[in-house]
Amino acid sequence: MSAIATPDVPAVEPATSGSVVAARDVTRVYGEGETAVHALRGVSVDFPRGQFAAIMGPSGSGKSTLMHILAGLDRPTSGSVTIDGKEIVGLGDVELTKLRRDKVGFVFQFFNLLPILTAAENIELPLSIARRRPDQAWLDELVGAVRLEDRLDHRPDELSGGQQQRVAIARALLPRPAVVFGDEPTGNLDSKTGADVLRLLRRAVDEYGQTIVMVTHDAFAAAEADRVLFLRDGEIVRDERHRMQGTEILDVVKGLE
Amino acid sequence: MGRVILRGFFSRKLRSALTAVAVVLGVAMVSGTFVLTDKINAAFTNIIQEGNRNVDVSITKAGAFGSGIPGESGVPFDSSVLGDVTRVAGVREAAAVVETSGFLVKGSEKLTAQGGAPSILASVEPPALSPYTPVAGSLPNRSGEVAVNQKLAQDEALRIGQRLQLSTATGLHPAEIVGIVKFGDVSSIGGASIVVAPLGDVQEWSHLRGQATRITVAGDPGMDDAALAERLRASVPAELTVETGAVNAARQADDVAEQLGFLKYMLLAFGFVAVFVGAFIIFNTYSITVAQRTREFGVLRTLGATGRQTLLAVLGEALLVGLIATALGILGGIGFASLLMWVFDRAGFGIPSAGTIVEVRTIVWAVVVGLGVTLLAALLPALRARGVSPLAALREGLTARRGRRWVRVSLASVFLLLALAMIGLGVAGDGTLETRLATLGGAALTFFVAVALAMPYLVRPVVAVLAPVVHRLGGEGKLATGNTTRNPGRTGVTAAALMIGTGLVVFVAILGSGLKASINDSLDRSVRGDLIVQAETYGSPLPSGVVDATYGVPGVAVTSAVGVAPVQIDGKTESLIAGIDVDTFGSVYAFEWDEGSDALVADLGTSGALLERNIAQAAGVDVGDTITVRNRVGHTGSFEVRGTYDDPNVLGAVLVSDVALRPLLEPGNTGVGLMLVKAAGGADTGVVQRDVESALAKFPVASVQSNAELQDEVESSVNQLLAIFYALLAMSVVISLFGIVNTLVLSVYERTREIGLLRAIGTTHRQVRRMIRYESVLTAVLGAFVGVGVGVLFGYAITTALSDEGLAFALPLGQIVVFMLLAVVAGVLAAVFPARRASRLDVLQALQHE
Repeated sequence: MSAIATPDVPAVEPATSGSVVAARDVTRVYGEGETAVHALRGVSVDFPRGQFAAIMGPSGSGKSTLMHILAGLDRPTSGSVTIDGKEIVGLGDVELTKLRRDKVGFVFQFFNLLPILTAAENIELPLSIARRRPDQAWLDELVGAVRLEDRLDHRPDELSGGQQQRVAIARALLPRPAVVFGDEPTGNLDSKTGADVLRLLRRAVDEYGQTIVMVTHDAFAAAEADRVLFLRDGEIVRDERHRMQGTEILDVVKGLE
Repeated sequence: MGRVILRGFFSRKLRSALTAVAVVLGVAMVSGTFVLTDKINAAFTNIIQEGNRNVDVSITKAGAFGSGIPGESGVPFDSSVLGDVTRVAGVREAAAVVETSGFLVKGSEKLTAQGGAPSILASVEPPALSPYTPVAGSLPNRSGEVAVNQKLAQDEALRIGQRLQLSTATGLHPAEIVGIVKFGDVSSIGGASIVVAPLGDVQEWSHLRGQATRITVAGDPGMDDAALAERLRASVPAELTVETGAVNAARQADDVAEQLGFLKYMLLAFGFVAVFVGAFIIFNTYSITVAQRTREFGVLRTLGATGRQTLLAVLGEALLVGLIATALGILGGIGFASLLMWVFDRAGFGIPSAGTIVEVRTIVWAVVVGLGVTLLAALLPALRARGVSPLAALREGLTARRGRRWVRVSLASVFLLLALAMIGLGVAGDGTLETRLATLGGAALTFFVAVALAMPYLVRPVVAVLAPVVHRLGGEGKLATGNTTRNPGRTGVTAAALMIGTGLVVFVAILGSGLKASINDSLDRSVRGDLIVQAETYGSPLPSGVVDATYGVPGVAVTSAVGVAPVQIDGKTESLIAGIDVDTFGSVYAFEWDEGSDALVADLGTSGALLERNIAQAAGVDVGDTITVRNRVGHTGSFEVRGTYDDPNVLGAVLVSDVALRPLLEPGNTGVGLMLVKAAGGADTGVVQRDVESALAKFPVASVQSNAELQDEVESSVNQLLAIFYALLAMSVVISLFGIVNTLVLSVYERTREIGLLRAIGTTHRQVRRMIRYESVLTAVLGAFVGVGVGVLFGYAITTALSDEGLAFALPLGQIVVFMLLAVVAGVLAAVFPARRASRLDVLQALQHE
């Protein structure tokens, strides 16, 4: 914890409030002096509502750090980040937690379901933490969409990887967050189940207008996104605001390495 | 969130159960102590009330101070008061009662009470007042008739019409059993033996002619007890205590409760030690659990749980474990009380028992102790859970946060310095003995905390010392030393729990061996006689005839009688006064003079006194000063202090001539408390002892022991005490073993993948088991090793502090070696279950374990 420097008071103008998620001149430095690592060197980016964005880049490019900062899990060294128009840099732990509760959903590479709860209980967990009751119609709709009707009473260890990730997606979507962050959501799945999970995320964007920001290594996963951002050495080097072909993405990635 | 707590609790059943055991045992000891003492108290209260059932007013005489003999509540007084009492209007019936000690003799068998309970000889009262009711035959009426209590009759197969002999302070008297009685509605008072005889006989045979220890009064029908007591108070001498039967019963019950206080506080102290040890187990379990759940807490945090909610998740689980454990602990306490009762019974302590009583106070204490310690011990781990960052959800593997080292080191140092300062103050300070002992007690607690905090830093050095031995045991040995030192905090806390138990065991062992050594050493040095004659029943005098009876016994060179009585010096310091035969005493006792010489003894006369140094100190007098002593019935005498000597263990008394003692004897005291016999040079002491015994056969109350037998008796009574202490400390040790089991189970779980790997590359089941076993033994030996060090240090400190009281430091090396071996065995035992779990892991599944 002590490795995280206290953020400077944002000296730049706030991120655009029209976007669901926005970053302005975000830098992140780990360590000090000669050993300092500049994970992000001034990144500005906006994600409008209903966009499915993929962030790509080689290892160490800063893509995970960017996602952590956009999601309020990590603090920038300088710069500004807004979620749903609200500045999150400088917020205390409790306010950040409340913000995550209300505005942010997560889908992880390793699913991160609680092994002690059933699938249904895992899906409802964020709401039960927030002491809110789920909207039953919406819950039914989601469960149908992720095809888990007959798996709701199962524990995570009784589910396949794809099923577990579908539970995680339902869990992320149920509170109707402003944005869902995906951290290599297909990274731990075979290509067939991975494609299934991506189709679900795509549907969430198309049918429910969900905003999704996904970090991925997988060019064919990024090919499902409306927009692909490429990072290298802590900077955005390309920002393609259209759907790309998997092979096209692979070429860009090769060029970056 | 409540669901997460509940599910978590049930999914971690094993560790919850193992954690709960630590709480259950501690709570059981604490609540069991209350249940037991309440039980005994209730039984005594019932017995006392039964005894006073028919008594409206009771007249007794309080001693000027306590005699120090348990159960003795007053002193004899002139029974002629009875005449005045019966003349008071409203008195229907009144009786003088003498209660003293005496027992029946069947052939050569002495039918005394068992296990320190009194052998009571009581005078009979009219049926309207008597606490005794015949279940067969009748109450004794004529001289030479007696009745016995039902339990004694059953145990010794006594029948109506049987002719036995009654042993009292005047010797043997014929006694025919005419009745078998109950006391109220019980067949015995604890283990006491009761013989009831006519008043005249009891007075005559106990040197209590014209004396009573109590007058009981029944009022006229409709007469108010309190009013009658008021009336009686005006017509008897002021020094007598007049109270209603109910008040008298309540006062006696209070006395019993006060005497039980010692047992209660001793048991509670051991209970709190167990709870203290349990706290380490709880702390360790939750620390490990929180570390293992770091990722889960991270996930909860990303899903919007606040730090407070993760904190409450841990505390909630602890609350649940604490509640269940407390409930089980209360049940266990009832069992613990019954178990102790059974042990007391088997050990021959005559303690009466009533049905089980669970007072509200017992439950409150159990909850405070059980829940309190669980929540307090889980607090630090819970705070750590609060601090888990949501980023932990995204990291692979466990990232245990390093504790702040300087906090731990400085805390340990502060506690250590504090403890050392307190030891210094306790050993060399000039406070009273009580405050110095209390200081040392505080020092012990502080020191335990300091060592427990420092324990993680002792892990590596101690394991390094043991490593060469363990490494010789093969690759598993190397793995085991590595595993033990990879998380020194965890190993340290686990070992600390055992350290406390072992430390206390060693401390008690040192105290015990010091006690034995110093008493026996004193006996060797100071007693020149070969035989010691004392009363069979503690605190009773010997018949005065015993001295003459030994004259002329072949092989007896010198017989020297010593009279003993309780006195108060200058109205404040309680002590014993001993009257010696100035002509013979020098031949049976060797003085170690502090100030004075043997020449003083012959010239004591009627005004000289010699004081044991500690008593002189307590009374604040020096050689040349004059002291005034007073006995319990108010007789006083003045003596000039002529010399002081050292002997706190054998003869801690004010020593005067037997002539000077005579006016200070209470009614009933024969002036012979004990007798020392010296055999003639060249005589076989064994033969002399047999001859003295047969010469004293007509005085069964006199018991003859050789010096060696007396030393054996001292040793066996100290050993008995030690056995009780060890048994009580064993609880703490058992709790700490559960701690080792728990830590091992948790670390096996954590290392599932690693163990899978070991198995995959060819490690056998047996080798995995061995590895875990070595880890367990290393932890146990670490705890025992440090515990021995702490125990020896404190043993040394306290024996040094008490050296003036005659306590010497003696290191029981043999016992310490045994304790260390037991620690190894304990380590092996604690490893059985975790090792089996580890060796049975499925290799493939283990490798895929997250």
